[in-house]
Amino acid sequence: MLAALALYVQAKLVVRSDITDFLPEGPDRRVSQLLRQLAESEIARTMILSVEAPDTHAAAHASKALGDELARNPDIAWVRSGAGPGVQSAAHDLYFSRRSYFASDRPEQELSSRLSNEGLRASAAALKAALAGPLGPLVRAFAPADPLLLFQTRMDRLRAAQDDALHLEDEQLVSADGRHGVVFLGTRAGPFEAQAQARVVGAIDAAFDRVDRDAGGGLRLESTGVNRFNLAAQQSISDDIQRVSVVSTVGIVVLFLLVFRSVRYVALGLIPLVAGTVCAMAAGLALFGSIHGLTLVFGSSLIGVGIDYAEHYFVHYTVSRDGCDPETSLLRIWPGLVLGAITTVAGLVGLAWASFPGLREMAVFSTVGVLAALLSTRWLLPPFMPKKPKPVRLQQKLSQVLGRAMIAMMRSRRAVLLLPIAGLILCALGVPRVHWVDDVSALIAVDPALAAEDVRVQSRVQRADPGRFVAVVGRDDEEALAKNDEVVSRLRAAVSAGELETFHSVHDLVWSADLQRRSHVMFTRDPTLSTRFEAALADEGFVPSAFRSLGESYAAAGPGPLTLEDLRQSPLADFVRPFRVAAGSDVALVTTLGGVRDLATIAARLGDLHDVFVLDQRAFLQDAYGRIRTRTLEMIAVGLVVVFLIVHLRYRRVRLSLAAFLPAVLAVATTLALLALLGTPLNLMHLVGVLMVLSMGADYAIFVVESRDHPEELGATLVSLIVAMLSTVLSFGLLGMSRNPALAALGITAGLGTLLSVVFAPAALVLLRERPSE
Amino acid sequence: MSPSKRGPSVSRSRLAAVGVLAMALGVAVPARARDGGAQVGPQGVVTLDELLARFRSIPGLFARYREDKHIALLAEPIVSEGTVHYAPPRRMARHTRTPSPSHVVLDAEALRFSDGTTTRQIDVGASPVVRALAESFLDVLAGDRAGLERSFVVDFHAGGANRATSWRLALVPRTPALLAVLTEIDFDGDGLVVSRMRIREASGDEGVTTFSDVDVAHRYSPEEAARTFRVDP
Repeated sequence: MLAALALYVQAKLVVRSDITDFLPEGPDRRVSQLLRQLAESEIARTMILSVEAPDTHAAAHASKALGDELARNPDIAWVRSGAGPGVQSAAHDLYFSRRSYFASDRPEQELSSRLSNEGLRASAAALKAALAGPLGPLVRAFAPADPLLLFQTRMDRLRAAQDDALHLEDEQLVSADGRHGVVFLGTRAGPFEAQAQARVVGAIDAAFDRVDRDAGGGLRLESTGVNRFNLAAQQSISDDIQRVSVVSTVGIVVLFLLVFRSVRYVALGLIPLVAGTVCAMAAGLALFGSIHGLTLVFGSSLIGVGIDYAEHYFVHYTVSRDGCDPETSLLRIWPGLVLGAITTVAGLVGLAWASFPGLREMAVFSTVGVLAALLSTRWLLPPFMPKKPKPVRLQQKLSQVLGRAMIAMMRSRRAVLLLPIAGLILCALGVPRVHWVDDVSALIAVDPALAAEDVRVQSRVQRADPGRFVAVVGRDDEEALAKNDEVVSRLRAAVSAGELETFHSVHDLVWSADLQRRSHVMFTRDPTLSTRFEAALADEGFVPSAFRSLGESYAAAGPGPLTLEDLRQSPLADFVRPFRVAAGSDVALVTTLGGVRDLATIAARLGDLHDVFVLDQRAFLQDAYGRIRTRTLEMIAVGLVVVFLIVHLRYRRVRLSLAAFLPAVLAVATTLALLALLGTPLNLMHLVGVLMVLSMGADYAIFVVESRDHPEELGATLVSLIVAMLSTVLSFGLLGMSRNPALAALGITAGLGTLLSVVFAPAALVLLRERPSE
Repeated sequence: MSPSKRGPSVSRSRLAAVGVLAMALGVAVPARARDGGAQVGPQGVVTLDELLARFRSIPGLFARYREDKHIALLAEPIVSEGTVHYAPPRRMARHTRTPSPSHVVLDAEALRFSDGTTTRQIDVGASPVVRALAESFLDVLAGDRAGLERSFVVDFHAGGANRATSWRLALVPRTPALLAVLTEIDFDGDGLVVSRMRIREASGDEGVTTFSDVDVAHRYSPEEAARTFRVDP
């Protein structure tokens, strides 16, 4: 069955590193969903490439060559590196015929004034000035059909929307400094699909190498995209997994050979590990479809938990001299193993109620792994144990020494009392200094070079505050656009009030059909408009008959309002992509904000609009993680009560139950206090480590308490605890050195905590046992 | 009234849209590379290269101008008067005094113009159409033959009008996009003095600018340059 599960895992294994798994659900579910959808949307699939060259022409040429080559790549959905004739013709076709639909987005206020006699005279004068101006010949081409210059105004708005950040040279996008050609591209795969994204990044590098070679060298490529950050994180996690797995496995094998002097125990010790890992992975894949990299690391940490059962069993079997057969020997420690596993699972299942899908996956993975390790220890190990174990001198010696030490401790209870007192003093000093950091950046290792490159590339393209935006959600495009019209109107007021420097919205490209019709109808409702305009033209010296009638130019129904779908089906589709996100069956329109003075004032301006969200991704996550941390601490408290009740059910005596329960609690508190005293800010992953220490520490204390009435076994139990602790520290200690802050936090907490648990477990028995045996 | 006077045909409108869109989007329209034919005159008569080389050496230019712009949409031509200024390597200004004050400044980066109340800026480098419209005169004064030939087929005749030093330079657009707007730009001159510039548009409109008091040895002091080459003097 294990083999079948292993085959299933091999066939289905997909590892992901999507940080959205650590976005919370719960009270802010809508916002959370939106952030998750944004994280998978076309916006997140967009990469920006910047090709630096000695001059503008070379930059434009290189970016065109790069764009052309990448456009043929099957992993790349679209490439935009300029605006060719297709885009220009499409813009003309879409907007010129609808120029009156886009005359004003405040039609009742603006057009009433503009179409008054005075306004028309001003327009005629403006037309005359434009015809006499340096670009008069261009204006002349449109003037007969567009004397109000509505089309040119619309195009001016598109130009203004670019923030002057990008220009075009030879039809190619170049940065304002003229030295960087810019290519936008969208990947077919989501940004967190590591394998596909690795292919894309590889293809970009290869294509750039060819372009650079063809240009004779001297070009420099920089790029940014969610996928690059994700790939770097994934690479970092993969490296950590490999290092932790290899080194901890080697370490544990060496430890086993030292303690048991037999390769057989090494092989047998792997059984609970393999069983636990395979079952956990199979369950994870079956339930979630793929496994998060952090879950895998957490799972690989099972090597320190699942192996505890085998170690405990091996030590007892090899050290005891009562001639028990393997089955009987196991049955003697079985209640302790079961109780340890139950308390572990009780501690882990708390995670299952966390609002993070990632943490839930970790809980399921670990619970299945621990139970599989326990059951495989019970039924798979005894048949393969040697009938007559060869005594190992080191074990015997250690067992005797530790047994004697235990007896000495029981005789000097006051001295032993110093241990928990020291722990409590540390707690008193350190716990008040505990400082929780809920910023998501505390969980993610961002390569500073990559972050700097991102800032450089983004600054060449657009002015926007990262992670700050307004999202408008509607049941369809039209509903979302209507809300967006209102949002833009209020954001303009915010800009005027100095609360905001700039923003970029799809409103620059399209308005709601209702607003477009309101603009158009201003040209149809006044039958005197044509006559009045002709008079205004004549007053300014024009020949009215040289113009099309105003009715023909502006009042004709034309093709009707422009829709988002029209744009998405046109060569201008790439311009719309950054703004529209499919949010389930709804549509979200995103407006990016730049130079926000105070987001709260922006939020207040939009506060009464339904389904309009002012998002600060970082602040949202910080707030959410803070709430989740508080919730997790509460769950830990509840979990502790459950663990104590379970332990008490077994021992029925408060002092014994406390002896099994308190060591882990004190170990955790002392660990956190030590970290605080060392100036380490704590985050959610430290809390996950706390959960693990509570689970494993309880195991250790339970094993000690289980041996209380068998002095001959106490030494063996302590040996097994030390072996277990060493194997745990080996694996978790290595995690503590991870580059990934989340893994490092988990590792250092679990490593230090288990070490302290092993110290506190025998001390607790000594201090709390009612009638110490001597 | 012919249809062409009542409004642009769809294709012309679309082509001209390239220009407007170029202004708006900073869109460039590619100039097809084609050899421009600079005419070399008979022996003793200035050639285009010689003329342009002499223009490259002038320290600056000042001139008064009068433009008569005949636009079919208007009953009367627009007549404007003012001054033009040039300082190497590539700075030019036109300050219109009548009928109403306006200012145009062109440099290597942008075309800025103001009517006293509003100011606009166009990135000329992004668009050959805008560049051609804005920079043709500048290219002549800067002696930039490559700049001229980027957008135009160049036709040069020297030694006409009974004077060996007189010349005529005609520029015919190379691209359909530019041809949708312009038919021809031609300059008449004598030595380093440009006396007349004529712009014939695709619509049939025509603008003729005559220059007077031309000073091709004008040196702009830093103060004068700062005052002159700005749109809000």
